[in-house]
Amino acid sequence: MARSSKDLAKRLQFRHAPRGDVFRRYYPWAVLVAVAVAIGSWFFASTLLGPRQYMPRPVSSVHATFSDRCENCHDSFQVVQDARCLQCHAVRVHSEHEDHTPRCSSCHIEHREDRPLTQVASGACVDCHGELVSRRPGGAAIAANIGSFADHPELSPRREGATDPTRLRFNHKLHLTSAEISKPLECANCHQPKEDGRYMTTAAFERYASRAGEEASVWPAGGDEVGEDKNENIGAPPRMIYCRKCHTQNVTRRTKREGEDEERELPSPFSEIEAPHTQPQAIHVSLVHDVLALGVERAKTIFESDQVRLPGRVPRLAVDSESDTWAEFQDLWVGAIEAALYQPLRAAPAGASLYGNNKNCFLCHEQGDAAGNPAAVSIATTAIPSRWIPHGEFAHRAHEKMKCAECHGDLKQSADTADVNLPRREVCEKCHRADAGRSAGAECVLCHQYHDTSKDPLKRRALQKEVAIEVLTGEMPSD
Amino acid sequence: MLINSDHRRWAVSTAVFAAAATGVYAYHIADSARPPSGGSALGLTFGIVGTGFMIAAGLLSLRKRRRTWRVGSAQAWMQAHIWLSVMAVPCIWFHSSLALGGTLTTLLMALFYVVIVSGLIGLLLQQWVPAAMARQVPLETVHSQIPNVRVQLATDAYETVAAIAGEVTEAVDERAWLEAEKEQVKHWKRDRLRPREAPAAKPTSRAGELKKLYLEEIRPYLLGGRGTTAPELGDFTRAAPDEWSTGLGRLRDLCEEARQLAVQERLHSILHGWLWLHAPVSIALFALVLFHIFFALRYTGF
Repeated sequence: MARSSKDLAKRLQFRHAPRGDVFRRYYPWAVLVAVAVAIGSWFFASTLLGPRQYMPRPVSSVHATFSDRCENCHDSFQVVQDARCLQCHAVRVHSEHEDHTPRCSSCHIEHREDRPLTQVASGACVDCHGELVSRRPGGAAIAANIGSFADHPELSPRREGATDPTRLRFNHKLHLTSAEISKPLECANCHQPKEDGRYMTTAAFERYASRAGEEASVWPAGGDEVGEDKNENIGAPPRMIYCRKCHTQNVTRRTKREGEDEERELPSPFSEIEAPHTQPQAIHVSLVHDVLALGVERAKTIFESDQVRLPGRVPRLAVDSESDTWAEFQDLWVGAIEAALYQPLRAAPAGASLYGNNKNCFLCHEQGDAAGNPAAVSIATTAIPSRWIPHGEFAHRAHEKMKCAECHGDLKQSADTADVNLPRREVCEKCHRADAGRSAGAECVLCHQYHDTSKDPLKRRALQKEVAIEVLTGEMPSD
Repeated sequence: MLINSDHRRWAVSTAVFAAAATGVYAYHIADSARPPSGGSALGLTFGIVGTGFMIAAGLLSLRKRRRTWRVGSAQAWMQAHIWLSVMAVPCIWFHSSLALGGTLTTLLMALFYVVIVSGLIGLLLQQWVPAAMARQVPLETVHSQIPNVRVQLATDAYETVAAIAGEVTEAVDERAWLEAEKEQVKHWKRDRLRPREAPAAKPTSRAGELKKLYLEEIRPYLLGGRGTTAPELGDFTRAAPDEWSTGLGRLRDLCEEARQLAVQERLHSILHGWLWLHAPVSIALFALVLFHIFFALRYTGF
């Protein structure tokens, strides 16, 4: 079938403009339908979901109550203003020396349903602390180039030259390992986590203790015997062992009273008087009370005894043959007890602990400033730090599965109170590694708070503003 | 458009751009550890660049409407359309942080994928279908002229049948077309046209068989195109008188041409059918992108 292209071309008729193919004819209608369907879908979504259709992800759970009220946080055509956050959240300034204050939303990124708002990425901190610019006169007081935990300087209590500021004599090695103790103590016998699980209590002398500057507190019930775990709950931590269990305030030491040349032991029952563990002034008052009470008891005994008394004469008090008056009696025996209590620290024989020769206040306590009165006794404030790391927070509860020795491994070698028994940063870095897949996390916010401040979550909570839920949800309160 | 060596520069540029974009995105994630959102500086950059690529690719439709524009060849425009669209994909991915987001952005992403996938399908078809058409349809004609060609095939068939079997009164349209053709010849003075054969004055006794074949099978096939089966003329030809052989051969040729036209129509539908999805959805995508930009700026600010 030979047919030339000319023959074929003859078939084509271009008298009229050819009708476009189907696509060209109906393309505008198809576009119209597609756009109508698209806009219709948007309109339907607007009706059904409202502004939530524009959410990249649901809000965090703490804001979920008013998730459909975008205006609570968003102003039209503006970034989220700090004033919106501050309507509900009261915060403090990070530092008066900071070069600039970032916006709330630059660190606390909302619309990440699975991540809490407080989980701030370390990059937000490194933006400033990577190359710290401070307006503080003389420059920044902290390390200026911290890009990650690997760059973090040594924890401040463990830096070179740092010592324990406590003015109390305590030997961890002795208490944890010595044969002088029938059963060496465990960490938990003296240190138990506080209620918030963050920090540990320090050892208390007795269960009902009061420290300077703190309210009186009731400590957990202690074990009855030294080293004996009376806790009947399986797996429960050992009970608190209070210092008083061994270090009683009974003064049986030999003492030398005024006017005497030799020491002698305080006679019973004066040697059985237990001084309270408190300030010297209060001890004095207590001793006066106890001594006088003891004297009255003995006098009463004498009164009720069968001893013959001459009529008309008041029987001489046989409590103390050396005192003519109650005042003398008081001064004599209170003075004797106090002399025993406040004897200076005596050196221990070679190989022995101080405890054998010193069973009084200055075994542990240091003498304080007597305020210019050499006759007065002053016990130095112990100044035991309740927090060792002022710019970081630590939660023992998060580490409760670990043994104490894994972090405080040097404790059993610590014989000097000046030793700081906190772990070094390298110990923390064993688990908190910045670049490891199995890290326990090395984000700055694990330990540090931007909004300070007091580093006490209870005080932070107290700062929070009260906002009626109806203000946030826009619902009228039901009467 | 065939993907050949002419696209090398575009392909290399696209690959380099995609690698650079991926590297920048990966570096940002590794460095800042904060997931880049669409509203972040990096996310916005990707969004603007990706949208720019999509708009530039969409300008092809304008270029096609103004064929006389001297702004680059049509081939260059088509290359730009293809490769800019491909480059837009990583930009949009990184702008969205590889997430679908809310309802509107999910719808946007769905439309985006429809446009991209349909475009890729069209591109693949364009590598295969034209070559298939050249092999299977040697008598290819201008697609818009296929109805006219069918009319002419039917007219030629009528002429052939009439020359053997006489006038076929049932073929009213063909007779009208022949009359119209005569008028055109007069008007345009097409003296070079082959003169039509006159209908047979005394058809043979078997003319009715031919007429029946023509009316029941050949004519519907020539005019119906798609959906009708090609008539089988082999048996009829063998049984027909020898003087009919030329005419029957001509009828066979006409049926073959009609078959090829049907094949051409089918291949044409395959080659262009994806456009029903690609073009309108792309317009809808642009419309919703405007909504997205408006509401994104409304809730995140400038």
